[in-house]
Amino acid sequence: MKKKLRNILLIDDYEADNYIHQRVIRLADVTEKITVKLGAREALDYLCEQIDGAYPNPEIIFLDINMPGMSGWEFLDEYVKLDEEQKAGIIVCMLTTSDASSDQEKAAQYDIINDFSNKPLTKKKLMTLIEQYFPDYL
Amino acid sequence: MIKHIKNFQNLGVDSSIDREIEKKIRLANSMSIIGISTACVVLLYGLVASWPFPVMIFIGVSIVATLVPPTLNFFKKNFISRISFLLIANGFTVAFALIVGPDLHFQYFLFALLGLPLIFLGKENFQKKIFWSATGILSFIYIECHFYFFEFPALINIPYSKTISLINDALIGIMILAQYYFFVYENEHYIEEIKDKSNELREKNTQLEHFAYIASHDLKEPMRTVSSFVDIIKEEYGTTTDNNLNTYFTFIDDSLKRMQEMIQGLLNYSRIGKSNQAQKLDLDHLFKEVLNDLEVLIKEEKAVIHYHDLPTIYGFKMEMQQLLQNLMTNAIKFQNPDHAPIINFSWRELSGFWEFCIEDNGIGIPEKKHKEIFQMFTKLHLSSKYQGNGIGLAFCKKIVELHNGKIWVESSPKNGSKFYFTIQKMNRDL
Repeated sequence: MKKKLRNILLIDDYEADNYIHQRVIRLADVTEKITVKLGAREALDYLCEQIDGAYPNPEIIFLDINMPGMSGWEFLDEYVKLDEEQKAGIIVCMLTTSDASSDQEKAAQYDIINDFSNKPLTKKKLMTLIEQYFPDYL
Repeated sequence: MIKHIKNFQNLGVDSSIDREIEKKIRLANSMSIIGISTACVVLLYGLVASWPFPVMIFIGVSIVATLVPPTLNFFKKNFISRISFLLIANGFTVAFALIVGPDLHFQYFLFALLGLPLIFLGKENFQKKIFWSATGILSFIYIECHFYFFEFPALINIPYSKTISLINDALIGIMILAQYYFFVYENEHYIEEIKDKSNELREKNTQLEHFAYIASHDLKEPMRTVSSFVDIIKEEYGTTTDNNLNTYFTFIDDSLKRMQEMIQGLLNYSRIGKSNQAQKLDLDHLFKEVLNDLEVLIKEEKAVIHYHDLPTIYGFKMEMQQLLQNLMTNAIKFQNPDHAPIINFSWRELSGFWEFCIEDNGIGIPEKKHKEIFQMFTKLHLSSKYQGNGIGLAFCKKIVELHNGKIWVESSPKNGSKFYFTIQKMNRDL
């Protein structure tokens, strides 16, 4: 019996990407719930907010780097300050274009980034991630 | 006072005037100031020494005459102004020397004027320069002969005074110095302005390159979104039997693909020379790698490629490789179907440069397109005949220019093409 993830959080200001990523995740049928936040600030608020006495604790955060206002990097700087119980399972950095080698270098400096992936997210990329980080869930 | 002198120097100068001409106008005005000041000094000591009245009138006339060139400048006749200055300065000096005789040294003022034609006349006026300079020298020789052969050389007798001839000598020195001063001053300003301009240009160029990078980089995202949604539509409604819809999708896919290629091309173009440092490159080795990459194409087209012992140069590896690859691909690709390409890659060493030539026996390029082909997205043929995106040679041009070289083509239809490019040897800028 396949076990599903509880919650996947998408942080991206670009609604079209959110739509595509949501669709991919929904079709892959790997999670109970998909949460979408259009900005880093809202995402942090969401992570810190208790609902029914529990933090959301999404298993995966797909984080866009290039966002207006608070960028992905700034999100990560704030994220490390959160309580352990507020944090997520893994963080995957979504890079906008294949050429973002400087972004990749920067991403490598953040220990809390578990993986990075080029946009758009595809079913194949998603399944590889789950296989790697959540083998029990297959 | 200095402000007035500056205003006087700038007579006839306005913003619409070419900087090179402006320099000459200011110099002519400055020279007139020097001339007038000198004449005034002469007038002063003439008065003190109570020289005869006609001599004083003559000096007065020469002062008024020296005002002519600035006046002409004021009325925007700057070339005539300069010529008139040469004429007036020379004429009055000669006349004055002849009038007052050799002892007061007025003839030596001609020396101070000798170099002026070289500055006043542009480089296109070589003969005029020689003429005016020669006139000065000949005038001097004539004056010397005149004094030597005629027993009473002075037309008007002025009592000889050692003081006056000493003052004159000093004036000549000051005149020459002042001339140098103005000349150097103008030139330095001119050079500084050019430096500023070229810095500005470099900055603009960097901005432009950055703009190309940003534009192509940011265009990719919406492109990707469109293409994702086309995929989604195909996935969800893909089993349609509607022929029209399939045609539309084919066009959308083709256009998207082309646009993606173009954007990627622009992006790569803006990145040429950014990724790496110049290094020593064994071109022989590099070229073999290129041929390796092109192996399939070479076999397919039965191309024959000649080359021998390519030199080791200093350059950007990825870029040089791309340059050779693009030129070789073109040489093989643009060929009549019934012809096998024969390509000759030759080179020679020039002072400061390596010159390379890739010669093919292909379809050739009409002469009026020889410049155009190096521009971005220029295609000379229908895609159905020769595939391509019009990027290759634009890349080649930028790569060659990165190596401080030039690229050009010699070709005519049906006679093949020779693509030449040069690469600067060991370059400090690289």
